[in-house]
Amino acid sequence: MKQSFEELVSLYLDDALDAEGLAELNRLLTQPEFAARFVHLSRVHGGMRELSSGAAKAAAPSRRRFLRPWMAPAVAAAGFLLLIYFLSRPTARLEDAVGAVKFDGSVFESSARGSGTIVLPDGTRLLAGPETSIRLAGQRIQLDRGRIAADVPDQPQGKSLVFSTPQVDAEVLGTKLSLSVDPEATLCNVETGRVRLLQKATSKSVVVESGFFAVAVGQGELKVEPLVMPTPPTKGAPTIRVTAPQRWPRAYKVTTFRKDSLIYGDRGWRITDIPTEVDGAQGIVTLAEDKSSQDEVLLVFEIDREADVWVGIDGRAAQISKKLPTWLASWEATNLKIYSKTAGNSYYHLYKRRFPAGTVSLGGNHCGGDTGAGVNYTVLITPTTR
Amino acid sequence: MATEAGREAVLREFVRNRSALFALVLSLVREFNLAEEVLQEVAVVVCDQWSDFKPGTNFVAWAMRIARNKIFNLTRVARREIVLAPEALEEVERAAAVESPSGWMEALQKCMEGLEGRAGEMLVLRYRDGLSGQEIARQLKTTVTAVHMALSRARSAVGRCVQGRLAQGETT
Repeated sequence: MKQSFEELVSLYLDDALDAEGLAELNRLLTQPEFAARFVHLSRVHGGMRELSSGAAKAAAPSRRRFLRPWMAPAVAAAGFLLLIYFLSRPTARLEDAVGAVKFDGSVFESSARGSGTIVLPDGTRLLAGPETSIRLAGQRIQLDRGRIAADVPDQPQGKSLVFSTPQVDAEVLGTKLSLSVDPEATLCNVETGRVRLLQKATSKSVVVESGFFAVAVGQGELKVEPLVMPTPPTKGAPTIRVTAPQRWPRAYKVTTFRKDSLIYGDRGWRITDIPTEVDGAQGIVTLAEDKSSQDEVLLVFEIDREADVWVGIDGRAAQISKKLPTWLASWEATNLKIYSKTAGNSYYHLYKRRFPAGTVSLGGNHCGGDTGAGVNYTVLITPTTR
Repeated sequence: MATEAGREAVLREFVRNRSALFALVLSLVREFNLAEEVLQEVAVVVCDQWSDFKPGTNFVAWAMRIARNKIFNLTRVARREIVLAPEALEEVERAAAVESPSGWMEALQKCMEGLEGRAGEMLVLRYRDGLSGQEIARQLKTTVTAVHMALSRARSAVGRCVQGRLAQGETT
């Protein structure tokens, strides 16, 4: 059945017009007469929203009519006050911008090497990493991709800050947390305080406490897990202390690696297969965002006794460039691999070297030039008696 | 002082044309909250760049140029898409530059007050509560098609009513 112009416009405004209808509407709108009718109906549509949304606050559930004579001037006055408010309100500002970053007061976009800190009027600090897209809308912060670490002061009762990602809404009440978003998953790490995570696909929610994390993937189970897995006492296992990098939020943490462990501290990617030689070993959770590092010294840690240090480097490294990071070149290639469900289903070649008690320094993924690695390396440490 | 007066005049123009701008932005982004956000952003830019507006030219056309950039940024972030073709959009913007007659909103309000029953209920759910056609259908236990048809008829009726009232110069 052919639809009238009014029906086409109405369906279009309700976001319910099919492709055929849209093509017809686009064709008609090139004629001034139809464009004028479209504008008239749009003004009816917009006007009804303006009048009704003003009425919404005062609406009684039982009323049959939804407008009162005083509402139009009241809405106009409220609109003017709103304008004055928006013109005089304190606004967010950008600090410590590095690389290519765009911020217009509400929308933040960073390039592959860009980052910056957004400071909100209430003192909340949002450290936005590379390839991150953020939109500020009052108490709601939309994070479509990338990573932010947030330091949020106590919020007024009933006015929680909410971070919204494609997978979850994370409601915050005074805390330090970080969120990492890719098209498939959102990882939420809570350092201090509490965050309530609402999984959009299932409407299920969990509370993530300090020292815990949760990963939301589509309709997958949303469960809370400790940031650091306790390590069962192993004979001869060294005590490990990370000394660099330590600046917040770039902390590298010591944990236990086994199947299903997170491979990075800033992505929701898990280990899918790990060789028995290092299964259950202690290790250091690195950060995916350091994947491009060319530093000669990136990660420094101390071990209190002799130990074998294993580095899992992206399987793509040295494939084309025939080059490993310079600091890794002299290590023993083991032919063992760790597999992980990363953005590209990566595997990691394990290299090993024995270190005496003391300080161990590892450089960046691309130290000495591009190695071809697309994801950061991971580190495991086993006792020499293992 | 002349500067202050100029600034105030531009802000008055903004307030006067706010509804027309909102309607146009909403017709492009088709999402209430996003349209409101765009308009807030436009208000901030108008306040900053008021001196770029040339008195005597069309304010809506000027503000729409600002709005277009904001729409582009926000729809990209919100993963919304402008689906009107460029030629259609051009004609719509030209038509939108024509000001609404004075008393337009009052006429709309009067016409809305006349809506009761099922149609009035649907408009409340759609405009006051911001529900989609699907959500309204679920709530009223009817089909999505029936909701869209009813909304279309109600909008057309209100649109005709507004034109009728304005033609008669009747807003009371």
